[in-house]
Amino acid sequence: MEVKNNEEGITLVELMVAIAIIGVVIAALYMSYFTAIRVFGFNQKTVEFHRDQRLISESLGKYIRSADEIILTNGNELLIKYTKDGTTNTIKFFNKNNYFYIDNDSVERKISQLELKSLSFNEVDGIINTEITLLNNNDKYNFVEQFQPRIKDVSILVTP
Amino acid sequence: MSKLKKEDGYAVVLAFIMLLVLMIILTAVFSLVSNEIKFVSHARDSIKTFYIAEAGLEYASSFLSSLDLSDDSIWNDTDDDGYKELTDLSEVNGIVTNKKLDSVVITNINNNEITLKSTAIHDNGLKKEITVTYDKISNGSDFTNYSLVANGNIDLKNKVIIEGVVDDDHLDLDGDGIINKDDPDANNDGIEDPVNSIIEYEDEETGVISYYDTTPDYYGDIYTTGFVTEKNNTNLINSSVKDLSTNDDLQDIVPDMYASVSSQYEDEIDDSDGSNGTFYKNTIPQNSEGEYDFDDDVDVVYSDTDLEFKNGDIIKGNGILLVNGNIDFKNGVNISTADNENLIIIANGDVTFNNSSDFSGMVYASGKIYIKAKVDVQGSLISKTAIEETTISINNGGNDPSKIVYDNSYLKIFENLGIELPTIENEFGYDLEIVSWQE
Repeated sequence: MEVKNNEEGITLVELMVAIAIIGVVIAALYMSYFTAIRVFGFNQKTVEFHRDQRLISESLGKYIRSADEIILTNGNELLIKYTKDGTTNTIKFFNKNNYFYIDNDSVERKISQLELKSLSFNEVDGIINTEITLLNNNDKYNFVEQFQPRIKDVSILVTP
Repeated sequence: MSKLKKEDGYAVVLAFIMLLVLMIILTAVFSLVSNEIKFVSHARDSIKTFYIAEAGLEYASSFLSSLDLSDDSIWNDTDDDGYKELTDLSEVNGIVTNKKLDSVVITNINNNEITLKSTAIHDNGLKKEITVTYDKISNGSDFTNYSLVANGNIDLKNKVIIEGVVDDDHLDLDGDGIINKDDPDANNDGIEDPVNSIIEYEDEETGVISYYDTTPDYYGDIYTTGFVTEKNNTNLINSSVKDLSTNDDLQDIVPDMYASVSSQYEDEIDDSDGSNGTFYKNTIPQNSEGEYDFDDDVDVVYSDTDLEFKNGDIIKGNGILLVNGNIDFKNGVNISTADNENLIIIANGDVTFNNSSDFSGMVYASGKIYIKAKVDVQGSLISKTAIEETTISINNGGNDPSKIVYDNSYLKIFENLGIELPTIENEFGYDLEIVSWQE
């Protein structure tokens, strides 16, 4: 009998208080959950951008420094002739189907995993300036770098 | 009672589940960030190590310019692999931590090229190697490599012949007894090599492929900061004109040889007694036939004033005539040298040849050089005058042309007498230009 009595009657007030408390707790958790997911997503994108940027600028830097001859075409294609172990090789950096590609003696390779939004090369006083924009979903990542060819008599040809 | 107890823990379980979800997210973010940190610090180390290797090259190239490879305290083959490496790297390594310049090694020297390999290592094992080939560009100290050199205009008239020489000091790569540069087929593939080209040569035993520049090296070019005027069929053989007149950044290409040589005989010149051993002051020793003879007992004849040789004078040379003023070889003066003899004429003024002569050696004038007769010189004519109308003028006036054939055998006189040739004021003996870069 006593037990029965105890089970009777949660008042409306009690119920509302309980719902309110649970609501507040869930709202707080929900917010922090989504913030955490957002931070995670942001970090992941940054890492992806950095990885691609580094791959691109390492290969650009290495070949521009070794260049005997640089040909800039159309402001978005960079062709470099360089000497390795006594032989002359050619490498081309360009945009293919919106990805960053290199063509090393007719072997094409995709360097960036991310979509390439824009690619531009120009030359000022013997320095090669690059401006590259990568696209990751809807986020844009833009980086500008300068490279100096090391070989003194490097010929830099700019063609429209 | 027991039923109630079980329902009590519901809040705790809920809290744990929520905590778990949050922990998972936190862990994921943490690992992502720590990966990013590793990634970025690797990038940083890689870039820094690269620049340490480059710093090593810069540092080493400052020692290359003097190219005193015999000095073991600078360049030494510490690991006996046959390649000299920079001994002291502390200058570079003193300013960096965690990473160090491991070695800078000279891997190849040939003709005008030096190849250096610089290696830098980071504590985490990251290694960067740069191989660079420098071309040595002489910056004027080798003014003796030219047949005619002047800080001014050069005027050539009346079929004057200027002849350079081809450097034949090259390897016989294919062992057929023909020196490569003159070999029409240096790599023995049965096809004549194109002139002035790089050919590929494969060593049959080792299979090593090397590349060889068949372009001949010429010496005896005409070199001037002014203009070269050629009239009436001037004839240049193996000799071309290096004309800096269009260069905005004009600089002296001829050092002051009079000042340099006279400073090395300062004591003798100041000595009031004059002649001293093989040094003669204001007097030229004559042999029994009355000829001015620079023989073995005469090294240097010095005059502190203008000098004029007159009709009938005969000068036989193997030595240095040093004059603080003009030298005038009048009509009827004959200058000659026997085989292996060289006469070096150094004037702190103008030098004029009025009569035909044929000699080996060098003529230096801080002023102008005039050649008004058929004068054949096997050597160099050097004038220091800043640009004036003409600083070297060769005009013999007849049909029999003067002939200047480049020959630097007069350098052995300077060498024998221990006279150091002056160089154009420059920190280095030559400049280094990067012609190849490989990472």
